[in-house]
Amino acid sequence: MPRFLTDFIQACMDGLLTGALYALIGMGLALIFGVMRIVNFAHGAFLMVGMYVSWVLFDKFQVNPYIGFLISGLFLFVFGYLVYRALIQPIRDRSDFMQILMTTGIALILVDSVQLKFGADYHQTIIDLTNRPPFSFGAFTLNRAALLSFVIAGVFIVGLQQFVVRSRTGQALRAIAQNREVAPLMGINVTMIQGFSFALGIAMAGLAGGLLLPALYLFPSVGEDYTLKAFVIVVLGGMGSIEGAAIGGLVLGMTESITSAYLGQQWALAVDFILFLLVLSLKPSGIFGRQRA
Amino acid sequence: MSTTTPNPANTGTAVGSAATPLLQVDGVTAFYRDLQALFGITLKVMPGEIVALIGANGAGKTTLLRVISGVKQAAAGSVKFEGADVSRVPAHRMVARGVSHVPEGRQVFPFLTVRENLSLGAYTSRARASMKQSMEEQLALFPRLGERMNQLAGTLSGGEQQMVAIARGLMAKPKLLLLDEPSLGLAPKIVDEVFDKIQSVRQTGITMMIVEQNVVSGLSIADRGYVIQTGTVLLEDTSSNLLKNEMVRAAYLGL
Ligand SMILES: Nc1ncnc2c1ncn2[C@@H]1O[C@H](COP(=O)(O)OP(=O)(O)OP(=O)(O)O)[C@@H](O)[C@H]1O
Ligand SMILES: [Mg+2]
Repeated sequence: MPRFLTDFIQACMDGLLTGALYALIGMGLALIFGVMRIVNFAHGAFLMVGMYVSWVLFDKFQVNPYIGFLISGLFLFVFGYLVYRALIQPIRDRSDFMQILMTTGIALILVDSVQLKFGADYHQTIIDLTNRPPFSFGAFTLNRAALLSFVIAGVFIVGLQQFVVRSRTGQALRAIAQNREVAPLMGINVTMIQGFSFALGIAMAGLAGGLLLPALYLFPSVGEDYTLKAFVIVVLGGMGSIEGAAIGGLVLGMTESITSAYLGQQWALAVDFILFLLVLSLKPSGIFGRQRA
Repeated sequence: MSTTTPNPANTGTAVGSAATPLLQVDGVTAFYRDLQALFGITLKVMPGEIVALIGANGAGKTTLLRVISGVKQAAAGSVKFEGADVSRVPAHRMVARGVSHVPEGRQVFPFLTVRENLSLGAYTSRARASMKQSMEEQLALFPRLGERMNQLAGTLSGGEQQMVAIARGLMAKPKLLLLDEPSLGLAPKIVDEVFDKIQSVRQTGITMMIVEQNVVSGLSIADRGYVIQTGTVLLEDTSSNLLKNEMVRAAYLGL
């Protein structure tokens, strides 16, 4: 196989591995947007909280991050629900501007609180798996930690999608996304389902945060880039479509990886932006999406 | 068309009867911010009755249905359902109590299939228990939907969407069905079809309250009617008397 081809395939595979985590993050944001019409500017900050939960478990109690991420998810589900009841529900029917202010404010408070409690230092989470030589086959190599988190993320992606399509709560959630006025006439408790969806979307960010921990340096504003990435993913997938967001996540992961391989890592975030602007200006309904939750 | 056969369940509800109304609305007022839409509406619906609400655009008919189904709260007055005060009961709980509201404007869930739309109609645990049977009943009533079960509801014709909306409302196994302008925006031939279906629903003995701008059709399937004007009840009588009424004929039938 010619060298340029193996390089390209390698970049695509690396991109898919990161992309699965992006998909998880984007699906959470899409779920919240679809059911509540609220753009959650604190999504990356919640992800960061998930990373810290996992890190504390690792640092203080030697819990492996590949187990700790579950506790991050659970913690953020509960935390997300409390934030919804205290801060989001009261402004649910207010202007977009008010909602942007609120979620941006929540992001600031989360980042500052974490900084107060844990300081601004960088932390690295070194586990056995990250130190092992990469898994290799033929001309290709795959990072073991990334491979494991890819598999785990895949399970949650499929699980969430199936839950939304098949379960009774999932049906209620889609009904609200498509016609919020009529949903209560079916007997759906909209406030309750919205709270649940918000919590579930935040839990997805928490799971992703836990899974990202071994791959990243940890510091209080580590989540900022992920808020942007999550937007790009949701816009790529068609606003509010969780299946679209899953594909959008994989596409973003590959785009970044290919960009890094050929232009250098520093271009990856710039390409996120360019992709975002291109989709918004050329096909605002998303590349994969009709509007569908 | 001036003769209406009273529903069997409705016989013996003459003045002074001891039967409790299924629905009793007393002095209800409602506002949209500063704008008052209802100015003290009082009416009742007896079990088994079909009651028509007629009135011009903006009279407050939709608002009244919204107050009854709990979507909107009355500012004053009370709504009683089966004798219990439900003025403060939210919409999703009213469905569980047996009030099903089919809103105006064919509001289906556009990106869900017909089947998913119908099954959402049976969302409450009470209705879900007999979902299969209700689904069969609805398909017997609306055979055309049977061929479209896996089609997205948003891709159906206007008349078909209205039938999905009505069938979905019936899936809730309501004691009281509120229908808001089922014929709005439909071609005359489809309007006839929709009214035929409503006639068939009527045979099953479900109590109904129907809002109609199509005064003749609305009154001809109803036992009684209320004429609503700017948020008040202007007239109340049997359908046959309303159809003969000079004022109704002049104002709504152009005669
Ligand atoms: N969401 C709303 N916000 C503000 N005002 C409203 C709203 N809905 C209705 N109104 C006003 O309340 C009054 C009653 O409206 P309503 O929709 O109940 O009338 P209607 O009898 O159903 O009319 P139509 O036959 O056109 O459906 C009208 O003056 C209307 O403009
Ligand atoms: Mg109306």
